[in-house]
Amino acid sequence: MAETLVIAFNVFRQMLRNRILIVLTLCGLVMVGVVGFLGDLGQDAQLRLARDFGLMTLEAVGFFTVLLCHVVLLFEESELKTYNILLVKPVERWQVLLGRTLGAILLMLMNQAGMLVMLWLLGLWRGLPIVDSDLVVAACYLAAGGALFSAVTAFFSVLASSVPAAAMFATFTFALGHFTGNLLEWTMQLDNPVLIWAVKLLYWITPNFSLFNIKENLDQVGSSLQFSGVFLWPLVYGLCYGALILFLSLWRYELKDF
Amino acid sequence: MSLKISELPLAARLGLLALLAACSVLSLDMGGAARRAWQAFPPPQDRPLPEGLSAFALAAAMGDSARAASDIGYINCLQYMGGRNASDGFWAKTLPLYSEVQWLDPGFKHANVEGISALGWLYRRPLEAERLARASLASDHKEARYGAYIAALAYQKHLNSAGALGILETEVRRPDAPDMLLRVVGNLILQQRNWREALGYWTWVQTRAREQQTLDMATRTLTLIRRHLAAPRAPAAPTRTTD
Repeated sequence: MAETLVIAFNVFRQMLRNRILIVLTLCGLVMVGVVGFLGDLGQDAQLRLARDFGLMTLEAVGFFTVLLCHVVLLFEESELKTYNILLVKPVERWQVLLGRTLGAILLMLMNQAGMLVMLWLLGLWRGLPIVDSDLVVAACYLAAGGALFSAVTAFFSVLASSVPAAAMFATFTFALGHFTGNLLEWTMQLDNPVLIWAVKLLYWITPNFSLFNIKENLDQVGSSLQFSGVFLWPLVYGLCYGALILFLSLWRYELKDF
Repeated sequence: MSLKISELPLAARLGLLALLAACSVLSLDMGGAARRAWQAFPPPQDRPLPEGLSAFALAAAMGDSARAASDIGYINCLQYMGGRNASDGFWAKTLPLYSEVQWLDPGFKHANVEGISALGWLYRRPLEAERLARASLASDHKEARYGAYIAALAYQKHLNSAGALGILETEVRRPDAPDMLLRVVGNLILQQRNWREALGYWTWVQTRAREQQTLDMATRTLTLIRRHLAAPRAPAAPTRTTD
């Protein structure tokens, strides 16, 4: 496991040196700044708008950070042949893939934490309680969803034959992972068992990011501790589904020819 | 440590996969059920679709981003009402725009109450305001304010400003009452030509308003009221009343 962590920290360090991700981090911070002015458009609802757009930005930046991190690493691995350098080191393939996944998660956490601090400073400046415990809980679940997305992107980076294909598959799965829950609810109202089962299958197979979307019910977080399932099951799901998809990725990665 | 998945027996690999898949499905179903019990409102698709719903709003609701979409919709409403849309059937799209926000997030009470106030008293379309208020009440029956607004609108439909004022005066004292309602109640008081009460109310508005538009209106109205109070009293013109 020590080797995996070393690789993860190296991935993190390497990505920090990468200009694309620095630009992304700066974009994230600027977007948080925009949130302050966006609130003005909402006049009376300034606080609600600032909090909602802050969380939306947090999710968007988390998504792009993980995606770009994997895409850059895959590009370096396949086009610049950096994997050949790793092959002569005493590390296993699974350690490389896990390290890559963890490195992307670390970078995402850094970006999201930075943006959260920025939001808090913005709240202090505008005299608005933008960041409170409810928002932090919602942000933590977005980070958990981002960690699952890192595992999913790792899977596609192993499976896809090219960098654009991996990015496209991962993006599509991320979008689909937000739709399947509502799609299933809608299909359940139709009298078509075949369609219901098809959508149910899709619902089970694709990663469900809606479970981590606490921000949709942000006003209820503080007053709903009795609903522990809402907070517990997404974590169990993230661990199980993440382990499943990483297992498949590692299996495929061990057999992959470079 | 050498650990290779491909070196494990196939049965072990498949067994592990099956176990993880079963745990994922179970936790997903349990999590989904817990979420449905927890959320204050059912998902948007379980509510009746409003007329003129945009594709963006529908896609956002399906994509689990109804709250953010309702925020964008609310900004749209404000931009539309602040624009020069008198020729557009006198801000005819106000109801569809606010209905969309209400459909996306019934918990956005501020937007709902503001939409009802605007339709009922700013654009003088109490029937449309009542439709929005009834849709809001159907989605969020615990919010007593919608009932009060429906009652005030019933008075408004019969041009009984005093009756509407009697209900709205308690609503306007709530700390989260929208600025739109402050202006509406101020105008209703002015219609009563009770200049002393109007002076007190608009002076209070200056301490309570959050929007510059309301503050500017308060300044202008207070000047007008003071002029009325300073002028010698003229006989009041008879006003139309209905029973």
